[in-house]
Amino acid sequence: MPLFEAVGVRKRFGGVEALRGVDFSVEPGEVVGLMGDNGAGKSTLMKVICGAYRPDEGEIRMAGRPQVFRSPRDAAACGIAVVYQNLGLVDQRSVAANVFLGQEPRRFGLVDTRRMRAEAREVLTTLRIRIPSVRMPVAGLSGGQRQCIAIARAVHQGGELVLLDEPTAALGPEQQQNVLSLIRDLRKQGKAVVVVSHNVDHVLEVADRVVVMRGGLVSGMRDVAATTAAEVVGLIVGNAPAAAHDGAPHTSGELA
Amino acid sequence: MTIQQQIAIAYRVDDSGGSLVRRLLGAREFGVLAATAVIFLVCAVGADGFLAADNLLSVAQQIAILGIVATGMTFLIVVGEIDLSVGSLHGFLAVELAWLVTKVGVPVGVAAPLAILTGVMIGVINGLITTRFKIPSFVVTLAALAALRGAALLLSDGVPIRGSRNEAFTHLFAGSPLPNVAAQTLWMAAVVAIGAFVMARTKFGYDVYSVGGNPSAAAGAGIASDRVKVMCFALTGGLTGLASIILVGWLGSANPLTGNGFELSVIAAVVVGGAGLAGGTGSVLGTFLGAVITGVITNALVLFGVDGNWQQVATGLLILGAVMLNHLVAKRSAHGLNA
Ligand SMILES: Nc1ncnc2c1ncn2[C@@H]1O[C@H](COP(=O)(O)OP(=O)(O)OP(=O)(O)O)[C@@H](O)[C@H]1O
Ligand SMILES: [Mg+2]
Repeated sequence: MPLFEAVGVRKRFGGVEALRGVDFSVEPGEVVGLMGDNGAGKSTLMKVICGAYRPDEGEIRMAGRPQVFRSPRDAAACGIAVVYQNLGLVDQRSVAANVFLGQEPRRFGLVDTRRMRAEAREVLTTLRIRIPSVRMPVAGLSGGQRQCIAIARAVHQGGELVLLDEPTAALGPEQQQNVLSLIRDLRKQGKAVVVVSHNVDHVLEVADRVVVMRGGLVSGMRDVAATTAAEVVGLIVGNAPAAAHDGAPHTSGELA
Repeated sequence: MTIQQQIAIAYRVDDSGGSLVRRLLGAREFGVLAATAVIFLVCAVGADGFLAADNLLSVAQQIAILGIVATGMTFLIVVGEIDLSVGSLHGFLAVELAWLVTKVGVPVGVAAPLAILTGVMIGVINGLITTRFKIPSFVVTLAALAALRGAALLLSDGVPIRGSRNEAFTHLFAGSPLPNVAAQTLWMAAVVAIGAFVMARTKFGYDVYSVGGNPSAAAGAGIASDRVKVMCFALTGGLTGLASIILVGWLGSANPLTGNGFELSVIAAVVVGGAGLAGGTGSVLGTFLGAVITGVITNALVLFGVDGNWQQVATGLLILGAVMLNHLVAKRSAHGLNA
């Protein structure tokens, strides 16, 4: 049984239909690379999965059970952690406070700042993120460091399904490799990961399966073991036959 | 880069925040504290009678009302909202209390909690309108400012109402439990201490900073932003109720014009204390110092014999100066520590 399933998900913003009936699933312990052109609907799908948006239509299931997420808190309670494309950091607050945003550990009803600082430092060390002090406000950090802190938050929060929306976009080569090895670590721990990326090499490096979106629909799906970078790029730009392996309901024919 | 290289470029990690002195100097409140000390000294040297015991006592009494309401306003401004109606609300709740006691005959032990409850309810209404209808809070509370002043005048027929003559009541809110320390001052000390603690150490305080700092990040992290905001409005309303009770206990009557323009002093105290009107920054301790500065300057202007109208000009200039200073500090502290 899939760990997570979205069936027939639609989401409209005013005149724009960002998701036009998406079917998407993630097996336990699987790493899925979600790809597609700008505006294909990847971030919107991630936000539906993590409870930030409510789908207009369609069903979300976790371990086979239908779920209605009214907020990211509901999804987090179901074991879904997320890194948003826009990171979602509070600039004025410290690194530690941002790693624990909305999930501050408490002791005797009070926020346990000591534990927050210690655990934040621990996650940063694991991810090999170099930040002089976890007391620094994140406003003073570089784009890459900020991205790492958002990732650190999702990693620390844990959960069975980790969503990463373009986690390597603003990173240097070394930090990109850190994130990729982090994704492998997560899989070793038995967690499922959905990683949105425009980098085919990265996706082929860490993912088990590639899902390609186009114009608000899933337009193709490939097992990484049985595909090439050229084929995936073809799917993304939309000029290759998009016959999906396991019978995805949508073909490029209806998209053309 | 190899792991060896990474280790070679060892970098200093220090999560302790440094020595106590360094943390003190680095704290956002340090600038306000220094300013408070300087202004206090200037007044002590320059204004005759400033240091007289009864003058200091009356300054402390005036600061008490300001400090209590400004503590609530700190939560509101940090969460990214504002309440312009606190002055009118202060007047209305004072009139309500006196009216209940004198005209209706409600025991003051019931009427006083009712004033706080009314303040909380009006705060909740302001908050719900702001969050549900997505109307800026300065518009919503500007309307409340007008409506509540009208209500205070209607309820009192435009004339002051006598308050409670209950001795226990007067003693509790306006007595002098320690020599040279007024009850008001103790009430304010308690409110400021609890408020500072709640803001800095509780989950609610963290939520307030998060919602004010980046609303969409807070929502993305599952924080119920609207509820947090409404609670800040309610808190401000409740504390304004407490301030009205203290005022009625102190003066023994309620004037429907009480608190006219008070919102400006409150906002000045919060802003002077280091809070940014954009939300996400500020602290109760800073606000307390801001209230002291505002109170001391007002008092000094009186002692210097400055025309009352000039005091308003001074308040305005104080707000402007503080906002400009905060702007500079915010730029600087983006690269500093934030304990
Ligand atoms: N909050 C919103 N309000 C209005 N329109 C939106 C909103 N979010 C997304 N859209 C629209 O939905 C479509 C899909 O957007 P989405 O952000 O999901 O794309 P994406 O695949 O993540 O693209 P990118 O690779 O650029 O991140 C776009 O046309 C976008 O303009
Ligand atoms: Mg996107």
